[in-house]
Amino acid sequence: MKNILIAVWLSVPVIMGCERVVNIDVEEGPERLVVEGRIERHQDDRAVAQSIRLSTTAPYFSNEATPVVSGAEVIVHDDEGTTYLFAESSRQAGMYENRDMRPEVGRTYTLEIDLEGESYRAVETLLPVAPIDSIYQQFEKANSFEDGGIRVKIDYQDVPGREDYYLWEQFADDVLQAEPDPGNSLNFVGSDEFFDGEHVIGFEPNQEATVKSDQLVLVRQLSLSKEAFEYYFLLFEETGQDPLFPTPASLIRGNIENLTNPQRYALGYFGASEVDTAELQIVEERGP
Amino acid sequence: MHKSLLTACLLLTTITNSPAQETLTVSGQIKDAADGEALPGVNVVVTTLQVGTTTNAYGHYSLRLPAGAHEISFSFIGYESIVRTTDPHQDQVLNIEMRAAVIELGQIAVSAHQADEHVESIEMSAAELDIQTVQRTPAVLGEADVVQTIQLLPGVTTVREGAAGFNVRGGAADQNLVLLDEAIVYNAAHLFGFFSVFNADITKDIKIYKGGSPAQYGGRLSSVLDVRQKEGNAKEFRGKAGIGVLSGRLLLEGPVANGRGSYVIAARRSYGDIFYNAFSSDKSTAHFYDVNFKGNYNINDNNRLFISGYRGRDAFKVADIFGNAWGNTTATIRWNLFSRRLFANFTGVFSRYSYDSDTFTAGAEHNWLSHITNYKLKADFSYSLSEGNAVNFGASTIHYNFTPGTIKPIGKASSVVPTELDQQNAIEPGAYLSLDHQLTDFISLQYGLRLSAFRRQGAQDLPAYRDNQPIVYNETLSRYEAGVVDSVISFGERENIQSFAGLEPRASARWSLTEASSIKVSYNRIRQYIHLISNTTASQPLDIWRPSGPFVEPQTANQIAAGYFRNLQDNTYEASIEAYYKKMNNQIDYVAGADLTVNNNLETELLKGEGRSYGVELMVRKRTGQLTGWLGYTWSRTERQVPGLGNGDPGINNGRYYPASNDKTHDLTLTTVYALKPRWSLSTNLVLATGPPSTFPASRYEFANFIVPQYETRHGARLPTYHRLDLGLTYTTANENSWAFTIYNVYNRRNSASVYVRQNENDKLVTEAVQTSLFGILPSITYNRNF
Repeated sequence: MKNILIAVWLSVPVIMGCERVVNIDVEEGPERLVVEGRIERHQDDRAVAQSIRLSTTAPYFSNEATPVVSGAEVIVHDDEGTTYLFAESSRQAGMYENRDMRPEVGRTYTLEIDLEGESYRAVETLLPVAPIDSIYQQFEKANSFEDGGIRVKIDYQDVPGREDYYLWEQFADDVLQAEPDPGNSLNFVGSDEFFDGEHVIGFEPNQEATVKSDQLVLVRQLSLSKEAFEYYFLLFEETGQDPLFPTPASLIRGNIENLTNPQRYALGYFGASEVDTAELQIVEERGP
Repeated sequence: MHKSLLTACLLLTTITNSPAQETLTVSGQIKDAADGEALPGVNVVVTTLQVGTTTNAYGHYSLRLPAGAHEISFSFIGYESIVRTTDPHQDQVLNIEMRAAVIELGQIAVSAHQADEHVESIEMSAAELDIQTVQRTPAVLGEADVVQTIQLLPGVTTVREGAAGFNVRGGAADQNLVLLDEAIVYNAAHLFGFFSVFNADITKDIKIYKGGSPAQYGGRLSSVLDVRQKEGNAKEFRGKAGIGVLSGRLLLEGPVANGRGSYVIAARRSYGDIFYNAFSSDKSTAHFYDVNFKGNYNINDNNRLFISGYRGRDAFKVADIFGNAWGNTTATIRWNLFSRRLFANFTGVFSRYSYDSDTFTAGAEHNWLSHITNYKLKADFSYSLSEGNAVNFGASTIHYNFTPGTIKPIGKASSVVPTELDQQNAIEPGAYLSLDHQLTDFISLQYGLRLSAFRRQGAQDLPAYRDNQPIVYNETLSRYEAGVVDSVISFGERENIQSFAGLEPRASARWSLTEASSIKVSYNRIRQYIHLISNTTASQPLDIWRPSGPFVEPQTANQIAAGYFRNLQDNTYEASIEAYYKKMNNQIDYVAGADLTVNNNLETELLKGEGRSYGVELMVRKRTGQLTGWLGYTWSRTERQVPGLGNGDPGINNGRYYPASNDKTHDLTLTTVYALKPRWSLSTNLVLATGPPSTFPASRYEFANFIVPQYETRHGARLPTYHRLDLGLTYTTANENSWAFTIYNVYNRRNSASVYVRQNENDKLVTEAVQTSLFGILPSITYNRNF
């Protein structure tokens, strides 16, 4: 929604908007558990390590990585009764992993965490995702919003008659391209409400990012549940505030239950997604 | 409540029957001798009896007097008084043309109004502004602005610069009934809220009711902003052109049919985009324009016909990315019928606010059209009973259509599926009866009753929720979720979905203590049936209005106010102190992250709450002399309570009262115009107000590669104090042409429009709070020319 700034700019031939960093006093909220985990099934059936990261909240201006949570008991079981133990990684504290799991579409997964006498739980069903048909690059000229440069585009065929929610992740040379931006909530996640059954052509998984020649780009297209979609939508909205027209600060609640003490709710989300990936080697290209 | 209706009828009978002796009627219209404009608010006093009245909004008056010759004085500030003697034997029509008084150089003639109206009138919690005051008040970019000016009055605020609309006595921005020649204006903002849609050139006067609004008005809880356009010069053809930093303006007016009627047409357009396009090759634009028209025709002495219209659009297009346009369109046709004792006003109104956008995102090119449209029919009557007493009554009906969104693909490559969000239809009838009753020489009363109703009707399909709960609380996840839809009920064309009706008592009393002081009290209840759905304080062009219905109950407000009014130094200074308490029920609030735009089932995201606002407003105003202006101060509290669904759920802030987004404890304004010397005048604004509430994070966490703020309490903090000073200097030539120089925010105060938090661009582990300011020091120049 940079558009609004520009509108003001265009209509009024003076500079008006002005931003500066200020000091504010903030209250210190209770420390809460944060769960970031997703069971992933790749369309090509490749075996991947499943991981769940546990951390906590920290004072807003602590300006360092938030504390990780070690020593938790983490398991996931599916609706067939199979239980998978997630052991804390020896290389990375707070990261709990399992390499044996072979997730399947349509299965429901339940996460259970025991930590310092409190039990947490989250349930998610793994939904299918449409595959990426093709991936290609295209040079876009600079305009009032964006710098010119090479952009990555994909085509996919949405499945008709099914309510679909998507999440996209774009990596350039293994680095996730995700900067805070007011447009993220309308770009990184999407629903097929207005596209049901359509062949979507030229979708940009990241409308803000450009890529350079010789970079290797990886695009991941993931399925989300409606609940997960709403969670991510709000997350991207809150982390990409528009300077002139900020959305009201709101609490983002995920799907983690605290069974022992509901008041001390945990943050984050436990998801389950099918994933399709596509890679593209970027080649030199200049605008016309 | 039916009792009060009965009482009103009884009183009506008493008043009507009281004169035992023969009575005569004197009535007529009062106009400006120079241009034939009707003069509202002229003081008409029978000097021999010490009774009187004032002309209504159309310049009409009517008096019932005992038989005999009476001396009647017509007086109005800024005009020469006229005295006439009535015919002792028969009813008489006395049409008067009043001449503007010759103004001494160095004096400013403003505020055509009655000298002691402030204490004598029954009205309280109301303020009128003449357009000269608006034009002399320094404004952003020198663009004379009605809404910016009324925000300088006590009790009228805005959340922040650039916020949507205005807030009256703690009311939300959608609780203001904004009328332009009796047509409802749904969005009074241009340019995302920085300017209002009223072109000052064609505006005649402005009146705002913050409370105690007469029974003829209804439909919005917190205020009535009644803006009337000029009628046009009935004597000669005149024109006016002006150019400022923001816009260029042109107005033409003149007589028709040998002065039996007149017309006025005005246009305004911002022109910043023209410069932009001169330097840029892309096909971008951003501008707004307004076109206003009004015409009237005197069929005969007793019948007068008016037509007026407005169309304004904002347009905003960026290269091949998207374009959108939005604005209001209104049309009014009005027939005034004057007779000796009866004044009747029949009005037909069309209003629409629409938003139209084209998005050219590759593969998803689409057009979005949304609008709210209404047709209104209204009849108002005013009948004079005896000296000082009159009865006002009338009825109206509004037909609404709400079209929240019609989405269509653009071009063959677009994969967007055409979609239509559910339209809603409703009818809002209303009727009222109100009495002006002079009880004794000292006590005047105005009391009445309004009956309003609302019928939500088909065609529409509506979900039926399990246990009739569109929203439920998930206790284990501590969050609100959509209720379960058990079935869908189809309603046919015009089929009743749900109806509401309610009585709205209104009452005011004035007790004159001395010639120069009075005490006034008022009570009113108002019901509001349509609601603007917005969870941001920013002004957005896409306004979604929702009608009351199965899941959204009408809002109601009850307000009491009491005040002491006093004029000082022979009516030179008008001082008042008013206290008010307002309770607002069925206020809408949203659960976190509500999706408000593309949502047929908004009820699954809404929580019901209550609001209360109370405060004290102090105002000292000077209308004549070398120095004019006012000093206003408000102390107030505006709070909200959203208890949730009532089964142990937390609502918002655990169901406790918390400061509403428009809560400002202290608000001080000083607005003055000083006639420096002949032809030069200096105007100033000084504004000082408590910063509005804001929500700051309580902690942070990491998710999806972002630092995410975690909020625990809503509105737990405040933005810094707001203050600024504006200066304006106007030079008027002998031909009444003028140059205006203004400096907005003279000392370049960086006021907060908002404070939000983000992760640092370079080091994402570092988080920072960022304050956005809109207007720094802003000089501008405007030239106006008459011809």
